[in-house]
Amino acid sequence: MFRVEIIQKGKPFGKWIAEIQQIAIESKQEVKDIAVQATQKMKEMASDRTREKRDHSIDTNPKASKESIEQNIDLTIVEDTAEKLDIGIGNISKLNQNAPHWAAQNFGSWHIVGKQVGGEFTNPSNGVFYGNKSGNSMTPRKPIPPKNYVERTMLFITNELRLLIQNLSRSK
Amino acid sequence: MAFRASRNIEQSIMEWIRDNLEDDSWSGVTVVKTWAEVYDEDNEIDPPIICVRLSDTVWLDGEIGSTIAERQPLILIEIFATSDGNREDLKDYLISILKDGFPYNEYSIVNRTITKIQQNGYLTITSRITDKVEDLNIPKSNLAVKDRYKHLISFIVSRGILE
Repeated sequence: MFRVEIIQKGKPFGKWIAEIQQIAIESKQEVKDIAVQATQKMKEMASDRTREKRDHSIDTNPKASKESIEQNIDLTIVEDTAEKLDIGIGNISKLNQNAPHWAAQNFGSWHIVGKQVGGEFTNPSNGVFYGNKSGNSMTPRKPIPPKNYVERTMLFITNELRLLIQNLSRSK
Repeated sequence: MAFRASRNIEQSIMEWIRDNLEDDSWSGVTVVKTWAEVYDEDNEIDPPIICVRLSDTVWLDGEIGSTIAERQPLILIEIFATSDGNREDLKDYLISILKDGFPYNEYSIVNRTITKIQQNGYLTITSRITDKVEDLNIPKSNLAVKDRYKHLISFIVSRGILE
């Protein structure tokens, strides 16, 4: 016959659970802050590079139309309870509807090469641009290069969460 | 001229994939380093093509009060397949040969010829592997052949050393 004796050392189990719950509460706001930063970063990566050089924020950029990718990347708190925090960045259904070119910009694509593409831009005297009374068009010669803003934002989030966990571990 | 770490990492992954494809009797698969090579009209390459790219890198602090850090780059591996079946087979195969890590080699380049100098450690995957179809929301009939059956595998790697 074996006799097993459990001896409790250190913190009582209940106190240990309370500490973990407190860490969870404190870290929730920090996770939300990371999500806000990640959303902004994704918008910057997805936006037109020439716009980044202007002194405008992405959200107030007058040139960013309703069909632009950055205007359709939203932060959504899906669930926020004592047990769970669920945050979404970029609703795919909304992007597919309002800015379906989000995928071509993220993954890159050859599909517009050699095709006439309309747009709102000035008409220089040479190059691939040509204009007429109804608007300006262009015929791209090169494919859309991949920006991979989704994957790069995931890298940012992974790193920030790792730092958060590391800091929480050190502080306790 | 010797490659620096980022180029060594890219080249090590490419060589690992090429060697395994050859050992496992995959034929006709081209491994390239840049997107420009995939779509180069002057030097046309037929699918299946595997494009390996090193994207952003995060640096993890080694210790307080020191500048040493651990390099962790994001690796993007894009598959341009000939069909959905080819895409699924290739992506499963690549994940199977990459997930346990692979050798880190050092290379040099002379007159556009890349030569391996030596193996110097190992690269391990330190994140979840993301594995997704590149759906462009465009009917396949409107896409170029190379755009129709694309897949993206991404992960973060590390040499496990502080620099």
